Amino acid sequence: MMAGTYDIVVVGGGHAGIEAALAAARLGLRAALVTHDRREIGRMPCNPAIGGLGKGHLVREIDVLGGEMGRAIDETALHQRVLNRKKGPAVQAPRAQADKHAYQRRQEEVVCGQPGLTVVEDDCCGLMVDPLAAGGAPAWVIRGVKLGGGRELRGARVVLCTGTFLRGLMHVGEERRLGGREGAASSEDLSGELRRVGFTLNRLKTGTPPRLRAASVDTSRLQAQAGDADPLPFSFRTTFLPPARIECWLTHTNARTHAIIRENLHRSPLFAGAIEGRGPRYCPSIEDKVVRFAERDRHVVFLEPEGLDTDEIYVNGVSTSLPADTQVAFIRSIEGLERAELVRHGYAVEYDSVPSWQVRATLESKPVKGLFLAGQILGTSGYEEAAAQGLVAGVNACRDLTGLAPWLPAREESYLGVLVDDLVTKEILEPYRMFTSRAEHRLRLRCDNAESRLADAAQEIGLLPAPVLRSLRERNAGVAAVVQLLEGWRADAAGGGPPTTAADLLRRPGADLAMVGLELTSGQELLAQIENMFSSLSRLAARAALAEAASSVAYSGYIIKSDKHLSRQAHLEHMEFPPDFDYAAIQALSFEAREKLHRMRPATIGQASRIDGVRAGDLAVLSIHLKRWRETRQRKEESCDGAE
Amino acid sequence: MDDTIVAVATAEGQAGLAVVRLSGHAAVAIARRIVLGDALAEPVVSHRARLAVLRWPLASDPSAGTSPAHASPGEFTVAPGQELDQALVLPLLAPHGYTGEDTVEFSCHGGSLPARLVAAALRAAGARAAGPGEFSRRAFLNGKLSLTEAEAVADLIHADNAAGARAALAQLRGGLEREIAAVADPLRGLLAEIEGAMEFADDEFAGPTPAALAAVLTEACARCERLVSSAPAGRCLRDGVQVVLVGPPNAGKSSLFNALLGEDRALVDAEPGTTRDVVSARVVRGGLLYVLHDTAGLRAGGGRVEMLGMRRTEETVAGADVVIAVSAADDPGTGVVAAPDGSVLLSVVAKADLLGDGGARAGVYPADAVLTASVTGMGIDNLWRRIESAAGSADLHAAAARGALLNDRHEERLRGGLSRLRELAALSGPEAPPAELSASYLRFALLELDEISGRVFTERLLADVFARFCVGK
Repeated sequence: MMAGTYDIVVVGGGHAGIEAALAAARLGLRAALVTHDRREIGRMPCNPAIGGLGKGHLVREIDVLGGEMGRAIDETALHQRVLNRKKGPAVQAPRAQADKHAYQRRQEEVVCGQPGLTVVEDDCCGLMVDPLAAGGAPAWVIRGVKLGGGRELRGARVVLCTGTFLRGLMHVGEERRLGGREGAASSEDLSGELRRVGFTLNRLKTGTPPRLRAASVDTSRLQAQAGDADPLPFSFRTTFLPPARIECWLTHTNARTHAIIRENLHRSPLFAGAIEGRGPRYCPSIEDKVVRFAERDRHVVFLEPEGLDTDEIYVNGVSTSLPADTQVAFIRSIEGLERAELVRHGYAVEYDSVPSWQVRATLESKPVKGLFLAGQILGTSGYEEAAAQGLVAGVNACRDLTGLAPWLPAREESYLGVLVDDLVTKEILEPYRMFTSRAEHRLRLRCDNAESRLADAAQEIGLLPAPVLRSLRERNAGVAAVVQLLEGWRADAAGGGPPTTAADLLRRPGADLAMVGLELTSGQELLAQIENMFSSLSRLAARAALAEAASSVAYSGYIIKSDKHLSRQAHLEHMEFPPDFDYAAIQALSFEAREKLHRMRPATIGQASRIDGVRAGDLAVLSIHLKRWRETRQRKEESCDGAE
Repeated sequence: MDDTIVAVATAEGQAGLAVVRLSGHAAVAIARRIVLGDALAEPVVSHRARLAVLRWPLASDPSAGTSPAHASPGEFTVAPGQELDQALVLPLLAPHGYTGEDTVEFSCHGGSLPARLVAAALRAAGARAAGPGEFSRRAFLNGKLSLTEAEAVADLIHADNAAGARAALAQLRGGLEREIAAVADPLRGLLAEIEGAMEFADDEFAGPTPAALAAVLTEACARCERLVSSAPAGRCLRDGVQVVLVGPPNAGKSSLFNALLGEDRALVDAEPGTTRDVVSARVVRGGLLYVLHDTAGLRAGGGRVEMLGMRRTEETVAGADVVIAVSAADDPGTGVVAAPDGSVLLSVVAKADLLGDGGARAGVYPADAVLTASVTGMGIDNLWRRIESAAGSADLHAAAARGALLNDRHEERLRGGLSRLRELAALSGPEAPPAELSASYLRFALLELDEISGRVFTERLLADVFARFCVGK
């Protein structure tokens, strides 16, 4: 039985699915989003927060490119902070606590109200595929998905964003039950379907801490963590942002907490060996921390309210899969939590993921033509990483269908590029999370300059409405003009001393525009001129534009230097392998490199160079063989020409 | 890499055994053409040596690459089928041989002739003479050697002196990689601390103190400088200590050159300007290789050919480790020679026997000039001692033992890394430089250092971060 026919079918209503489905509909295609329950769209099953280092960068980029996440968090944030305020702008990023339910409601409304997008409440039980020519890659082409009861939802392109639902298995102590997350069933059939069409799957693990009833927490003795008085938005379209509406609190574990955990380690599924999946090292469970860092006598715990209309508090820092009674005991050993009531217990969840070397940089899968994957199914963790992939997959599914060239973000222009490139070149053994240290071009890939970096890409993608794009361009031109003004503004130092340019002053460590205003004789005049140049922008936007201009100037010398160092390999970076390039035949490659290259099939030498296990020697061999391959082909072509 | 190559693999004329190595997909087939008996009969067992009589290939062998009659080089007179030597024949089948290809090694009797004959016979049977370093290149391309190892092997092959060979061997055993790791590992640790403090903003990591940063930087710079300063030593060990004789025409340079060699190598004549090009010779003394260069005399005027010779002289001097300024006792001359940076200038008075008993005339020659007389051999041993000391032979032996055999690529990378570290040190003051800039400089320094051994970067860094920090809220 047919349930409908669409251009793009998106499976999953999480953060990846939302971006993919909205992008498809906004690009003018007929899209469907399949979810168990529309009220689950945009749910935050773990920490109700968005942003932070690397992740905040991703959200800023998603926003400029026309994605939804930035505006959603700006509208529903309760508590915002810019992290690393005392460090340089390249490693600053906004982080916001969301009102969890408000966020969900907001995303549900946007998705359900989007013209051209149909929400289908159903299970996705299987894939509809047709075989392609025997022995070829891809071996299949997608035709749609199978819903509950065998109904067929046809789609020319399908984007799978099923999160942790593939054979999800939850652990609380010795208890286990099937499920993708608290209160949601797992998807058992889809794993088998993916295997059937040739995917390799692996097992990953993640976890979440207990939630406490707010009224049962004694915050009177705890240190409050206030939000920023003048918060920074994620979205360049946000013109007003209220100050923090809640407080978070800080407390610590102690020797007694650690003793309780140690006594019960044998009941932890992680330590008893019941969990086979690999968990993230950057987000260890509290039992992990206590064992691995035995010398530390305490660990920080953040208490984060989950919303205005909920009584739940998220206990950040104590993710756990210990048995329920142990959770209660160790939580109550923590200062301020002596009488805490657990609304929900922490748990670990194991799930199947599709190792990401099985997708191309468009996020289209290699075994099945027209099938795209995005989000946690590809082994990443985090709402932001998921949303970024949803956008890339959604946009490229549309471009593929309409015959446009793929949109491939590059490492040197965005964190999206870093993310996608890492996905296609890395063997992900633990849930992948973005870090700024993954970006070679960190000094350029800043939160403050996402608008300037990505305006061209935004135009190419076409998700921003024309007037929005126009004002974005105007804003960027303004920033460039201010940078020029600062570079050329030469004046005497106010306290005497040789004349200097505003730009050179800004390049001094710790300098900012306010300081320039004071230290140059004509500093105030300069500031007034700059303010005037941004007068058409909102107060928030003007502040952000000013910050971008200042950090562009401050970093310019370092960025030039860093580009120089990175350009040494640049000629190899975009050298492409022919689609039928036979790595297995190159004896010259080390065994490890040969095996990985054969399996992962990088598109360029640059991608090959980032595959772990491919060493400088292997790259030399590859470039020699590529050159030889090209020469042979050229000779063949020449001899063909001669025959004519 | 499609053809099969052959070369004598041991140094000429020294060892009791000489090894001829044959490598390539046709190695076994070609070897069979010169091996009598069933030493290479099917099935060929890898790594099993058999004694066999070798012969020149038969003229009738239709599969030989070239006609044996023509392939026979002028220096040998051999007939097709003639027996050459008895040798151990060792097949090493792919991928187990040194090059990763099918390889056959022949251990012949010592002395250079038997081995050269066998190699010639293999060429006559269809192999090609291997170019310099070609076996190592194949081994590298076949993934049998890392880049530094391959470079070390190439150096080892070219090392015709004990110290150079020892250095290459030490490097092959990871000497250089260890030295690089001693620089890079503390930097990596520092970077991990800085990155951790940036990435996990909420986790209360302070990052390294300015003092800790400075201490690690100072130590790393010092190690880098030591390594870079060993680059000339590496060059000396690999290519030999370059000793260049210069001086006015007819000062007796060529006679001195021959006396230092102990043989009549350079053409000696009383007419000025006899040596019109640079004549070079290699001498091994005390386990070190010296390359002596006899140059055209420096003087104004002279013909066009002589001018060209003088230009060559200048170029040779520019690459010298030791410059020997020669002047004749009967003609102190005027030529002042500028020795290039980092080289040592020795003054020598040749034909000192002409001075009679009077010895050095005060003020005419430098006080420390070595007086020599090539005819009598006077002062030659003394001059050699001065050359050895000028070349720093003790330091060279020490460098050889450490395995610090830097080539130009290593040196360039090391200098690059050192520059990044110095730039970072210059940014540092009482306060640590901004963390993201420190990280940037450290990263680039490490990229340069890692390129020496060809490592892959980011994942290791993150692994370091995770090993060090109890991260995550």
